[in-house]
Amino acid sequence: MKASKEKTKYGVLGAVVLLLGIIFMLPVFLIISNAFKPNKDILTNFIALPTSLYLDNFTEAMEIMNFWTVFRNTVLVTVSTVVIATLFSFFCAYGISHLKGKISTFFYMLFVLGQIIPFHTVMIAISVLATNAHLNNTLIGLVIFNSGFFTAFGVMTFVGFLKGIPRELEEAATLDGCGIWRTMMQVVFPLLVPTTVTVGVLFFLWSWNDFLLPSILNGDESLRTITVNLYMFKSSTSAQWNLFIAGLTLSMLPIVVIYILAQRYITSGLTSGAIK
Amino acid sequence: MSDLLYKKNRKFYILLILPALALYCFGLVGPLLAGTIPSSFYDWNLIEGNKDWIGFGNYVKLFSDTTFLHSLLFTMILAVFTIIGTNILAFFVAFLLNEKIFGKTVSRAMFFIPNIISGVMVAFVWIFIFTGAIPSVAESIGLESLANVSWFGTPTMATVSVIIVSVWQGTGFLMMLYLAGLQTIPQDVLEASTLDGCTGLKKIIKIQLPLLMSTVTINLFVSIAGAFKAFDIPFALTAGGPSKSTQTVALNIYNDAFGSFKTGYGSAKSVILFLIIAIVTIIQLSITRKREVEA
Amino acid sequence: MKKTSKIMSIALAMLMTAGLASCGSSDDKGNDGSKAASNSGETVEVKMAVWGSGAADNFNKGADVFNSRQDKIKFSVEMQSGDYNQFLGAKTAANDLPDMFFLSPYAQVAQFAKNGKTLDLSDQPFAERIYDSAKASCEYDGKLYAYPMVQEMLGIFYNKDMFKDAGIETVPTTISEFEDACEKLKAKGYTPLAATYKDSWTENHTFSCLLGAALQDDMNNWIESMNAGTGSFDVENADAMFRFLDIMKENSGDNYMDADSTAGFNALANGEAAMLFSGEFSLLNMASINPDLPVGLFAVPMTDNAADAKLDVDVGICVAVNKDGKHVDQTLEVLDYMSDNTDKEGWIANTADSLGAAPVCMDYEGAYTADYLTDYQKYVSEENTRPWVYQQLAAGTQTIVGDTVQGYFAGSKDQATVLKELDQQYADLIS
Repeated sequence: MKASKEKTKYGVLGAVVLLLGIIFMLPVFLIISNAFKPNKDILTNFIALPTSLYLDNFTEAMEIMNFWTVFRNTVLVTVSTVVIATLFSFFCAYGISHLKGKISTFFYMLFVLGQIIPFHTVMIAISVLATNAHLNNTLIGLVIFNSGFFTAFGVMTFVGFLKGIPRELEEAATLDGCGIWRTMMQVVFPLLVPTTVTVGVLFFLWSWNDFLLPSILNGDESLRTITVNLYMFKSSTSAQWNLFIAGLTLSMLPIVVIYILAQRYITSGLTSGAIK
Repeated sequence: MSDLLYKKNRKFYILLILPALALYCFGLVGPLLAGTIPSSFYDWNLIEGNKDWIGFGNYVKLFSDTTFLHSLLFTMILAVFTIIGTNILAFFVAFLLNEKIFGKTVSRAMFFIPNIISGVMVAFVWIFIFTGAIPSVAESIGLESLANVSWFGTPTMATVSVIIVSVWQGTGFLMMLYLAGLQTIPQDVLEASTLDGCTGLKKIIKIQLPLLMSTVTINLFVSIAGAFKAFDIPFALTAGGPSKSTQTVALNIYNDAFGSFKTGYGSAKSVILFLIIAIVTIIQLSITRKREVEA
Repeated sequence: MKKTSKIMSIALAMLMTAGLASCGSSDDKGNDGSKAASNSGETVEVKMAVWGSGAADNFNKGADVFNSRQDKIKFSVEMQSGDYNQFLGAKTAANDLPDMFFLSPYAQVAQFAKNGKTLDLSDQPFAERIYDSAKASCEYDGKLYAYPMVQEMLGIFYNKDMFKDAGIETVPTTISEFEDACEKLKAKGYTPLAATYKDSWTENHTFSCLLGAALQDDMNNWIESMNAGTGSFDVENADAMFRFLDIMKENSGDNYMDADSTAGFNALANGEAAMLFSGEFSLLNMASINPDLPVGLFAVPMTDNAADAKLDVDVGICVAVNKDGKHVDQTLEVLDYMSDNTDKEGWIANTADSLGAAPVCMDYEGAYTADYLTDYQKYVSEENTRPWVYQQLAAGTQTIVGDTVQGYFAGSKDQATVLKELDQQYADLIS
């Protein structure tokens, strides 16, 4: 009796949340559905569903955007940034949360402050720096700068979640003869898998969607990223909405897939099990 | 942990900090300290190349710059609405998604996906939604008054539009962090509290929220910093219009620095913006961090 | 399991880094190679940065023709997506400008010349070919610092079929005729004007044309006084300017503040509105929507005097050459190709001779004909044109004018407020 009542409750709640979620997703559905419509149909009736499988937008957008080149560049930059920034953030946060005294607070605050710096304020300075360091027109330049920006958030997040992990766990591991590296990587790190995946996914999105940095650093067409070339369809004086929306759909696809794949790990509930 | 052991490990901890610190200083702190802050003391037009030291001249000027002051006011209005809106919505959704509800995997994805598309790109599409989709839907269900709304026609409506899109875009991100936070709350604590008769709203306020304070700290911080830096959505959705009424500080700086290339003046505004965010977030951190409890 | 994933992640990191490093190094090699090649007289690359617009495709075709004719120089056009000024600013600061780049006429050309970034082009062959009227846009200190690539026209583009249908025989040349035309169009159920007012740069164009109409022969004196800091936007004919804005507001349909430029351009192309106050670039989208629509062009009729209705024609794009570029000689060769008005299949044929393309600032017999171009040529041959006012004011004027006048369209600012704010902001701009 009680179980079935609970079941109904969760069913109803689930339906409410699902409905809200669908409303949230509507704009995204609209983007995808309009990608399959000719320009004229997009302009005259934005909410109508496509009447046929019209693929010209995609083929034309991919050709103009130089899709496979920019896709390759974006994947290279994004994956490297995610690996480097996530790993370094975790290391750094681990160091900070284990240091004692003022030095720990100092480093923590230093990274926290990084998040409040608007990118535009340092844009000119970065452009000069990148040229002097010969990092302009390279993909590695994007990885270095992006990783630098992202660690501010990464460190802060990891420090927050590291606090939630009982220190006794590590002390026990040390008593068992676990070395400091092994304690970090094999005792603590597994507890933070949800956090790591979350942070990694966010870094992935940020790097994937980044426009300003690649647009000022890499002018060469062979080194551009997907978001930069998406802008080709929308300038201040003209917009080719059909191509823009098709390009946007294509550029969204990989991040949606990554997120859906990652979601399993985020929900796996590893943490609670391990702490028990 | 014994002091001896700590002393031994201290070097290792510092070594762990270094790689991130190096990248971070190179990419962000260095350009700020060596680039932006010094240039705020110059009368510097980037293109013309003249660069004259004027001390605090730029800072004095911006306090009588009505456009800048208005952008500051608008930024604060936008910040208040989006911070409250996104956090409440995100916590509410995360809380429900953490329960054993029906279809939660799909729901979770639907809330998060708006956040994964670049803000600028998605704001362009929202223009169509405001001017095309909403009117035609409203018309078909007979809501004439909604169909005739001019979403960008007046400063007030343009502000509402910016808030709607900002909340829509920002919620998924915070939801994800709240969810990650909720999942680090040990299951046995929750079970124990349920056995003690602590359920429903009481459980949220007494048990989950306090244990979640470190997440709340992060989320508030992230949303405050994000709201004060707001650029993408107003830039693409209204471009600050009509008549600069939805211009945020970041957008105002951008127009100065790249519309008229007043690099020195733009830098001074950047420093002020930086200081404002710093003060607000330090106050916030000192309030919320005190309330953090360990699980 | 854990160990494998750790090894995997480290291996992945190393792999990615190695992959990137190899990308970087292959690029370095590429650069070295091109340097070596330039010494031995082989292919060098000349890059031209252009701002984002619907014309990018045409530019690429123009470059392809050049590249197919010879193999010493590879001419590539790099369209900067996003904000072009931001790109210029970042590249100037870093001293990393491309070989050639687009600049806005007048103020921006002068800024770059003053800073010593651009090459003096006074002795280039194009200087003989271009119209004298186009030179001022690229001059600084009496020398030419850029090539005026095209001139653009601002005026009222109209759907000829709708005009005929509404019984409008001749295009309006005075304000009363214009109001009359709007009434006739409305009576037929047409929306007279396509709105573009969500994009404030369109308000700047409108206001600039109206200023030109208000100032007439006094324009040069007024510009001089503005740049000296003694002038005011509150000109003698200001009332007429705002009366015209009111007519525009009354005839732009409902919710006109929600329409951006693309929406307005499409409204004319789709036959949703009869007129559009804009430039020839507004017709670029029409090629994919309704290429055969008969579109005419007339000058803004702001006063009661038909002689005041002159078409606003001015240089729209200036091409500057980087003084510190690595391949200045080759760049000048490309520039000569771009400005060759005897070449019937070259740059001009590909970029300045189609629907929505801006014409060049020199004599050129194009193959493309259209009603609006015939109208334009008539204005030009009768010397019934005037330059754009805003381009000759301080850099940044377009932003303050556009944003402030947008407040008038939105109804949040009245005439007095608009004029007062313009004066204040302009004073800040030139201080």
